Amino acid sequence: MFKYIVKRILISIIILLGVSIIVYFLVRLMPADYVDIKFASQMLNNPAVAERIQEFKELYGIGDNSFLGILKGYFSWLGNMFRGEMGDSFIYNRPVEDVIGQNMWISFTIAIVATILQFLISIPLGITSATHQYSARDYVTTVLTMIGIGLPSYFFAAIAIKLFSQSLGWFPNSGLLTPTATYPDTFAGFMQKLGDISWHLVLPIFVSVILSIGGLMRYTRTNTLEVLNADYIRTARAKGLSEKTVIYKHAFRNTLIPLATLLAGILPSLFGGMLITEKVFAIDGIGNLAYQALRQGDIPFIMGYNMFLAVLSVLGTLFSDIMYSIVDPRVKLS
Amino acid sequence: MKKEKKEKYSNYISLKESRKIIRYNIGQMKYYERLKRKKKEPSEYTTTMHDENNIIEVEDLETCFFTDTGTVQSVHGVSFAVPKNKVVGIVGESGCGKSVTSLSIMQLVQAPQGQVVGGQIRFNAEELGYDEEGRKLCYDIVQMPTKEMYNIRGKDITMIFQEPMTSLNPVFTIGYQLDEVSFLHTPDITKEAAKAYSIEMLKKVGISMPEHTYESYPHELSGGMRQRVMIAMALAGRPKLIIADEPTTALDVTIQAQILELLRDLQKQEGCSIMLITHDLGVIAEMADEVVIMYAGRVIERGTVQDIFHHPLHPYTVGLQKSKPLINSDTNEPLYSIPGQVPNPINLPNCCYFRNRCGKCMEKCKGEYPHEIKVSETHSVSCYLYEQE
Repeated sequence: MFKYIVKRILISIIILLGVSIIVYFLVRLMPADYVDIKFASQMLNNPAVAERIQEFKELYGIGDNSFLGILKGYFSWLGNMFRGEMGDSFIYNRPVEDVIGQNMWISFTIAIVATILQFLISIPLGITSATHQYSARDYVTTVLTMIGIGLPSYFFAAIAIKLFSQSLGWFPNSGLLTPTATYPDTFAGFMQKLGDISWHLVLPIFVSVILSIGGLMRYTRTNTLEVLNADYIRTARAKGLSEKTVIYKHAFRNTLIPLATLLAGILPSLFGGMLITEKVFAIDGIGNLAYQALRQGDIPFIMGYNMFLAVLSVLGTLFSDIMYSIVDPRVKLS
Repeated sequence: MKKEKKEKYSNYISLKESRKIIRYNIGQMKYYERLKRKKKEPSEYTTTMHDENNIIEVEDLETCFFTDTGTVQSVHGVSFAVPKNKVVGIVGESGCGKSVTSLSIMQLVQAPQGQVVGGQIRFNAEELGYDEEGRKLCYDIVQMPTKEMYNIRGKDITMIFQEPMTSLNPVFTIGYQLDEVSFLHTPDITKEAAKAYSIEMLKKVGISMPEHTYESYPHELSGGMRQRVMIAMALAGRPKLIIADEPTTALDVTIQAQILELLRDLQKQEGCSIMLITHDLGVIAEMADEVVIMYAGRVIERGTVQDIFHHPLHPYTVGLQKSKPLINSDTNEPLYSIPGQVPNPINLPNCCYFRNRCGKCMEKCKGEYPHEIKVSETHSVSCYLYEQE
């Protein structure tokens, strides 16, 4: 087991190198770079700036856009990486790891609450609609969750804002804190602030949960149906076990096996933030930052963010493989 | 004009008909599901045995499957009885309803599509005494609510399935799955006692390292071992009736012989009855005391092994006997096979289903389905050929 994990980690280093090469080349080949975008307006009015633009580009290390130039840039980035430096973000003028570290947690909070809710809602829903196949309950949940899958997040978020925030006024529509509010520097003030933040997070979490329930629920339903038709379920019934034990003990353990693969995708989605949802709700999470960075060509940040996600994805797959060997006795890691 | 068209495309179902079928099916399924969940007084599902030496009596059993193309009557008025301490073999080709009959006895027909819609299954439970007139009381499994059935399944009636490879839950150990039976049917058993009992059961079915097997997962065992474990599980509840649904079909021939021998020995030791379902006449000749031959959901002939093997009456039984390969035959003739095919089970007409394949078909056979004709004390057949006798 230990040997297997070490081997997997060594392999994943090669994968990460490949990912970094692809991402770096893609970012560098974007038509407009950070300097072009930043000085676009000044260049129109001031020809002096236009003359010095190449100089600025050299300063940022993005002057040479030939193949060799990009390769040189990549290796200097890689060298820094090995020294443990991810470089300074162009936009924020701070080390990338600081920016990620600072903004990650709000995305993480949204994601972890949403993921837990998603699992708590969709797994029981999937199981009941499988055990009551073709009943009214099954059809209603299927239709509703299908609507959830079908709605684009920006559209559903906009509807949620219109309904709950503007028409009903139950929840604030954007940001994390009420702009006019002040909080005393005491424990009570802290709790008040925390309450305000949670209040602001209700809608984004609601939106992301509704949109993600469908997939997992359908997945659980299909798996449960498949397991319930298996021969060993008939054996369990023939033993005289009650329907409840059959479903929640004998069938559920087997339903869990394919669900373990889903864990692979959860780790990156927990820390990676939700680009569009955060943008719509104007939350300074990491997804929103990544969106800004992409638009402005902030190479160190894009690289840092993507490598962060790549590492999480690799770890996630490893994690789900380990989970597999835990839930399924037939799987042995070696 | 319209009628003609309909007959021409009898396999084709129009949207209107399909909707009608689905609506009918939903209504029927709901009705029978509700019946099974309904709370009933014990008096509502107890009746009296016709012969108290039988462990189970099946009478006019009707089991239907409500499919999208119409209602399939898988079991159509099946009657037979399993006497105490006897092995009854049920023979028939695939899809003739033998498995569905056994699943009906266990109330394990694939619900909600499959439902027992009529008849009686009288199970002779010892704990029920005699009524005032001295007749043995028994449970009627058809009327029994599912909740009450939990007490019979796995304890009084157990089942061995066809596919040992998939019949054990892959994520639990053999020990866990065996212990479960003890915990379920012996209320205040301790963990140690359950384990000791399970290991004893494993020993009984001839597993050489029972302690080791107890800790194993199903995938670590061979097919024969798994079938032994299934038999151990079936024995663990000290059943009165074991239903063996083609227990040797998925095993190779040497293991088949071992498993059959084991079953026969255990049946003698434990003094239980076995209802053996198979399509292998050789197995029947070796194991069974009485034989029931089924065709397209009906019992067409039944009798003792001697009756069936030495004096087969129904043309189908005769055909079956003829299509058995003989090891010591010198002729190079191809093996006999009954011509034709089993009829489509949807909406069967009320007449002999075998007449299209029968060499002795008469004018009379086009009429309604022949009644069961008693030829001797033990032997009966459903065929017009024997009506006069």
